[in-house]
Amino acid sequence: MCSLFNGEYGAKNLYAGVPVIIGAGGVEKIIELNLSDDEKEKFDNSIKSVNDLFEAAKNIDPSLT
Amino acid sequence: MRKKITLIGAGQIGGTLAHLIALKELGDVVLFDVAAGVAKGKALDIAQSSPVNGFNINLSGTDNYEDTKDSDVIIITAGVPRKPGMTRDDLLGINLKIIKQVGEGIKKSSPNAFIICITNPLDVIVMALQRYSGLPKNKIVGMAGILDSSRFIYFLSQELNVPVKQIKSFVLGGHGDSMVAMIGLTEVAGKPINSLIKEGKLSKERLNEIVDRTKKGGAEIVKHLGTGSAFYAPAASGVEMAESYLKDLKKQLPCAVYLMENMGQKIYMQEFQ
Repeated sequence: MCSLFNGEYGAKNLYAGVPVIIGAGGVEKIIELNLSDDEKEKFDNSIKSVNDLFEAAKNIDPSLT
Repeated sequence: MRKKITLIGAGQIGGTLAHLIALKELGDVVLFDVAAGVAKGKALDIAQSSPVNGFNINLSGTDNYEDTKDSDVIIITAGVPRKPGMTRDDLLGINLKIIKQVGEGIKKSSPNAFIICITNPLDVIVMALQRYSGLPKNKIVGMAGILDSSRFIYFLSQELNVPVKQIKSFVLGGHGDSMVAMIGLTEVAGKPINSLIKEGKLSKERLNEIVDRTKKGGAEIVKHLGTGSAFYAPAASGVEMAESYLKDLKKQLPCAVYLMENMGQKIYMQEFQ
C-alpha cells in the first residue's frame, strides 16, 4: 500500500480525478487514500495519459506551456 | 440575496443543468450561449414551468458576458463533442479555442466564482481553462469522477440486484479509458465487493466487464442516440458539485482537481488557504 499523495505518486502539476471535499471554500481538502500496488499502477497510467494529452494541447497552443 | 449561477453553453447538458437547478431552487440561472436564441428559448421554456413545479427563481438567456457578471457558480459545457472522422487533436484544437474565450470572459466578469468544467477532453480542458483564466486552482474543478462513479454504481446495482443507495464506490484518475475504479474500496450493502467475489456471487471477469462498460459509458450512449451525447447524468453530476459549494455541504466527491508535484497534504492545504 502507498499513500496517494506522497510524491512518489507521479501526479504533477496537472488536473485529474481524486476524492475532495467541496464546500464554501471551493476545493477545501484532498482526501488521502491508500492504494494497492495494482491501483497505483493503474492510476499512474491514467496520469500519464492525461499528461500526454496535455502535451498535445501545448503543441496546439504553445501559450499553455 | 439569491445566488447567481451561470451556465456557459446552452446545449443538452446546459439546458438540463438549468432545469435541475431551477427545480432545486439553487439560485437564479443565466444561460449563456453564442447562439443567444437557444439560451433565451430554453430559459423561457423552463421559466414557464415554474407555476407547475412551484419554483421561485429567475432564468434568463444571453450571449453577453456582461449579463453573467458576479456569478457565484459557473458551469461550463461549451464545446463540441467528438464527431465521426474527427481526430483527438481536431477536437482538442476546437475546444481549446472555445475554452480560451470562455476563460477570458469569466476572468473579467466573475473572478470570484466557483467554476465547474464539463467540456471534454475533461482533464486537459479544465487545466487549460485554469491557465487561460488565471483564477485560483481551488476554485476551478472538473466534473467527471461523479459521473463515472455513478455509472459504475448503477451497473453494479443492475448486476447484483442491489439498490444503488446500498453501493459505495468511486473512480479516480483521468476521465475515459484510463479511469481507475477503486475496487478495494467498493462496498455492496456494507460488504467489500472483494468478499462477494470470494463467495462466488460475482466473478472477477464479470466485474472487469462492468469496469470496462463504465469506461466506455459515454460512447455507449452516443451509439444509441445517433446524434449527440449523454446529458442527464452529466448534468446531475455537475449540480451535485454546485450544490455542495453553494450550501457548504462539504461533501466528499471525486472531482478533477489540480495535483501538484511532490504534493503532501500540507502543501496542498497551504496553497488553498
